[in-house]
Amino acid sequence: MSNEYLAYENDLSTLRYRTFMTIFSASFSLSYLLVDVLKLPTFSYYPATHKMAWGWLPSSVDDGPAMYWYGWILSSLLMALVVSYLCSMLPINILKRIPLSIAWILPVALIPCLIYTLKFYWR
Amino acid sequence: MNWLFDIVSVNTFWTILLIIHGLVSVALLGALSHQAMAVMRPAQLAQKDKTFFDAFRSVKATKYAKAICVLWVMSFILGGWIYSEYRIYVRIPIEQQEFYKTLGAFELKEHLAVFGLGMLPIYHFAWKFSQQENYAKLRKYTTLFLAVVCWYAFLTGHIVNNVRGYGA
Repeated sequence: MSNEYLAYENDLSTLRYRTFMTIFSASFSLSYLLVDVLKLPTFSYYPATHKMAWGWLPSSVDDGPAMYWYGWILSSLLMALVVSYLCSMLPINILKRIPLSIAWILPVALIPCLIYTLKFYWR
Repeated sequence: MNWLFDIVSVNTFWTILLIIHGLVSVALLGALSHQAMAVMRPAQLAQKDKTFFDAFRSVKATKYAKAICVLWVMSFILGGWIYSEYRIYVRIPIEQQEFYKTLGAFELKEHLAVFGLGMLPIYHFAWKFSQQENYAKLRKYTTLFLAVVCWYAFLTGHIVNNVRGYGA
């Protein structure tokens, strides 16, 4: 293999790696907000009884309050991994066009939405 | 866990865990503050002309990146562990006292900590290639984001810890 080809391969793998990281940051925050709003945690956890159940379940008299935070994190992690992997496999000319700034601009832009989802508390 | 509670009481255990969480957060806050200052306004003065603020920002910011990632994950795991206890023994009494804004601020802290966690891979990538000028903006803004979130989380954690008074 020529040095030129190795440099190209190296560049491509760095580009894919960079895209994966960039999209992961953006998609993780976006999917976290979506699973929160759409009530899509992977599981619900009842800290009073240490019981776990798949999906979203309401708080109950027997098991106490339900927690969804752990489930949201897992759901968004899985979604972000899939999206980032798929994006990192895009053709090189598209990869080069993905702006790095999306990694921090999207999470910052989603903060007002997060604040809005907590409107119950701002009274 | 029962074997552990034979050695220390349940209250002592959670208090120790909360203190460790606080200490890890202090280390993280310090590291991020130094790095954020260094990346926002790099010091260029000669050694003898340095003020306190110049010295504060003249750290080798690259050296902090790995430690910050490790501390963020550690603090996140400890916080996540304590969160289940908080849900039962802290949040419910605060709800009963109707400190809704305090609770909202704490919920926002949990959300932002997750955003920060998701940003760690690209933050680490940006600092890994710290010689690359085209990643300078990425380094700057991811570091700034993490620093702001860390300060917010730290202060909110303190407020929630103190909202019901010492020993409550």
